[in-house]
Formats: sequence, C-alpha cells, structure tokens
Amino acid sequence: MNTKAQAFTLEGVASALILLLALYTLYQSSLVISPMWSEAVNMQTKIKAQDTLKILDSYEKVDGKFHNDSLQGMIVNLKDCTIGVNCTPNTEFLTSLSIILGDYDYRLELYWVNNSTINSAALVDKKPSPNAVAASRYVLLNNSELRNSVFYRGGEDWKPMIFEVRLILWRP
Amino acid sequence: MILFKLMDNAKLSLDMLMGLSIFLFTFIFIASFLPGVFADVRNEIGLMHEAYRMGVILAEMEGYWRDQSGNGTNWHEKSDRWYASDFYFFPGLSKGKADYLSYYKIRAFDNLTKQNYDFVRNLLGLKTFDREYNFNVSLESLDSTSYSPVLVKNRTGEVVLQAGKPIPSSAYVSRYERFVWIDPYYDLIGTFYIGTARPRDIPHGCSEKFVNENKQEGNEVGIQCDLTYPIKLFRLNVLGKEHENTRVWWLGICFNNGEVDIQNCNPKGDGNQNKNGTLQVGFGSKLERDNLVFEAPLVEGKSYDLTQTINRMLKERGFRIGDKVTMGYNAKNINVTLDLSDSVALIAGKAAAKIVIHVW
Repeated sequence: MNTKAQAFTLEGVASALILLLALYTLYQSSLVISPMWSEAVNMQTKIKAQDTLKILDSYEKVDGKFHNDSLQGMIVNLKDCTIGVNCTPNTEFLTSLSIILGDYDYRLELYWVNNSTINSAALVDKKPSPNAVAASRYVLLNNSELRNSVFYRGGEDWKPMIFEVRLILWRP
Repeated sequence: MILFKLMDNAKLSLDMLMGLSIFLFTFIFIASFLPGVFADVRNEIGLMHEAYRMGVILAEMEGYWRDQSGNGTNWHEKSDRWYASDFYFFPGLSKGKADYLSYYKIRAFDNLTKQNYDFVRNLLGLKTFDREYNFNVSLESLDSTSYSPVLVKNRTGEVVLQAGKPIPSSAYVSRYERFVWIDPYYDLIGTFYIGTARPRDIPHGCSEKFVNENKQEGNEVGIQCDLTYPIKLFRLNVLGKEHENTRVWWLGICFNNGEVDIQNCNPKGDGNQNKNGTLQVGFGSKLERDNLVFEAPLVEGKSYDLTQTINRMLKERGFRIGDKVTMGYNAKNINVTLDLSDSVALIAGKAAAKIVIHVW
C-alpha cells in the first residue's frame, strides 16, 4: 500500500488556470456588447432612414414638374421600363440619396395598390445585412401626375394612387 | 464473513479540496469582476439616451414660451425676455414639422447658448440636482464626419450653429445626428452677380482674369475661382442680355484640377468658332467639343442647376472629397447670377444639412 498521499490536483489546477486565462483573453480582446447597445445603434440608423425619406418627400413643383430627386419625381419618372423587372430610379434621385446617406448601403422598395392588390417592386435591389432597419413613407399622386409613367391608368385623371416607399438601410 | 480492513493511514482528499477551492476562487473572481464590465456600457447607453432626447427637442419641437402677456412658439423673437423671472420657455428649432427647421431659431439658439451655456443646460434638462451632462451642437454639411467636420456657414462666412463646450478627446462622448432642412435658406446660399455689367459680386476665392469693355457688342469678362469637391450647390440664373440691342451673348464654364490655369473658356461651336447664345460646361483648360458635359441654349429667365452634372463629371475624373477644383468662366454680354454653396446641399428643393449633437 502506498501510504504517501498523492495530490491529484494537477487536473484541477490546470483546468482552473485555463478557464481563467480564456476569460481574461476574451475580455481583453473584445468589447462586451450588451443587448441594449445594438438597439442604440439601430435607433440612430432608423432615425436616419426616416429623416432621409422626410427630406426627399416634396410636393413642390417647378415649371409644373416635381423635383426629379424627390420621392414624387422619382415615381413619376419611372417610365419606359417594366416595373418589377428593369425599372430603376432616375440618376438625380440616386445622386441625392447618396449625398444624404453617405457610406450607408440601402435597398429601395416601392409598394402600390392595383385593383385591390398590393404590388411591390425592388427599385434598388441589394441584399440587406441582418442588422438592417427599414423606414417607410407614403406618397399620394393623382393619375394625371403619373401620365407617361408605368403607373398611369387611362381614364379619370383625378383618381388618386397611393405609394409606399420603403428604404432599408444598413452599414456595409 | 467479510471483514473490513481499517486503514491506519487515512488519506485526506486533498485532490478534491484543492481543485474545488481553486475552481471556487476563480468563479468568485469572475462573478465579482463581471458587473464592472457593464458599468461602462451603462454609462454610454445613458449618454446616447440624452443625445437622442436632445435631438428630438431641437429637431422636432417648435419650442414654447409663456408669460403674463400670452404664449407662443416664437421664443426666438423674445430675446429681451429670456432671462426674466416670469418668462418661461424652452428652445426648439422646428417650424412645425419634424426636421423642418427655422434658420432664425437656429441663430437664436446659437446666440442663447453662447450667452449662457448653463442656462441652456437647465432648459434642456441636462443639468439636474443629481446629474449633469455637457453638450455640443452644430449644424454641419451632409458629408461632414467626426474626423473632418464641415460646418454650415451663411453668406457672410459666419458659422450658423456651433454651440456648447468643446468636445473632449478623452471621455465617453455620445454622438447623434439628425438630417434636417432649413428655411429660409437665402442666407445659407451665396447668390453672386457674375455677369458682364458692373458692379460684379464674385464669390470668395475668385479673381478677375480679364475684362473687355465694348459698349456696342457687349462686355466680356473672364473669372477664375478655387472651389472644393463636392460642390453642394451650383445654380445659374440667367437674367438676360446686358445690352439688348446686341445679339451676341454666351457663357462658358470650365473645371480643372486644383491650381491648374484655365486658358480660354469661350463656348465653342463647329470649326472652333465661338458659339453664340449658348451655355457650355466642360472639363479642361479650354472648352472643346469633345470635353463638354453640358450644353444648352441661353434662355432669359431660366435657371440651370448644374450641381449634379458638375459633381458627376468631377467624380468620373477621379476627384475625391476635399480635392481642390479650379473653375473658370468666360461671359459675354450677359446678366447672370450664381447660387453657390459649399456646405448646404439643395435636395428636392430643400436646403439640407444635419444637426450633430455630442453629449458627455
């Protein structure tokens, strides 16, 4: 019989040291992000998306036409294309959007009602990241204002048509 | 019969005791250390909340005042009563719609904060009996960043809004932005007379290269300017001919890399002749048919917003934000004004900028 006690604590010592070392390295190498933190960042991005749509929303007309870089001007200038296939916003609108948004990436969607059906089309078709946020703005236009656009319906010019412009924003 | 043999040499379970104590020691250390990690995060979240609240007050609320004589939202016109004991108000910059700001309220807020910073902290709820926050608010260009800020200036070169304490470099500082548009924007955009009549009012950074005065055929003038890319607003307003009895008039505008001279910016037609009645814009030291980016007939009373055309042209030629641009123009027998801004962008007819709030 071996009367000398053997300290089999090497496993305990080693495992405790490894645990300590791992936790210390984890803390030192990365920030601990609490759930509230990502909400704060998303809040700023969402406010930016809403503010962007507010700035672009303008019913003002110059020489009888909407500003080309307004939401209204963007919609009425969707012409000579097939909506949902190859329609894209005009260059002035995209330039103004990039001036406001800077280095944010975005996806732009348009929703409208046609014969009691809600249709949608992606005008700027990029794939959002998981932390993307969305903001919407409603635009009301008369049929007469949509003449020459893909949304014009022959018949009564006074008939209103409502659009939802949805801007999905994220940091690349 | 089974006999239990008693062991004389009892073994203490030192293994288990030591291992357990080391584990417990580690666990207790982590458990007491961890809350300290979140303490800093909680501090930052609190600052973000205050910055957000300040953004709502300034960008979405009209402000309000009340005293014995009545009440209203035009607190900015009551500067003589701001410090009266029976006058109650809080400053908001909006004109009734969120993000739609009044230029005069912005200037009044700037003056108020510069006069009495602590007073404004009280009004905005940043100084209470148990905690205090400092702030800095500024109106900046849309492409302004924290490491390269571009403050919005008015036509006299004065900064429109930069109020509060200087931002510290070594503390937790929360930054929050709101995109806004400002009305009226006349004071934010310089309108310069750049035509051939006298007196001319050319923008800062411009100088006359030549002037040929000819009362029969109309005067001719050449000007060169230093600008910075991107140009936020470049809009020409053609008022008409300087001398109506002369049919010849034109306007040619050239852009080139910074500090490169512009030689001759007369609009060119076929055969290298000067093209009458035309507005031409191009890139290079002189206008030629193959370097034109814009051409249109001159029409009396018409405005030409060339901002996007010019910025697209410069971007295609490799200009980056902050690069210097040389602009030159040659004008003959024309009355024309130029709306120019290097901080406020005209988006959908609105003078757009952003309010940047720092709280610490």
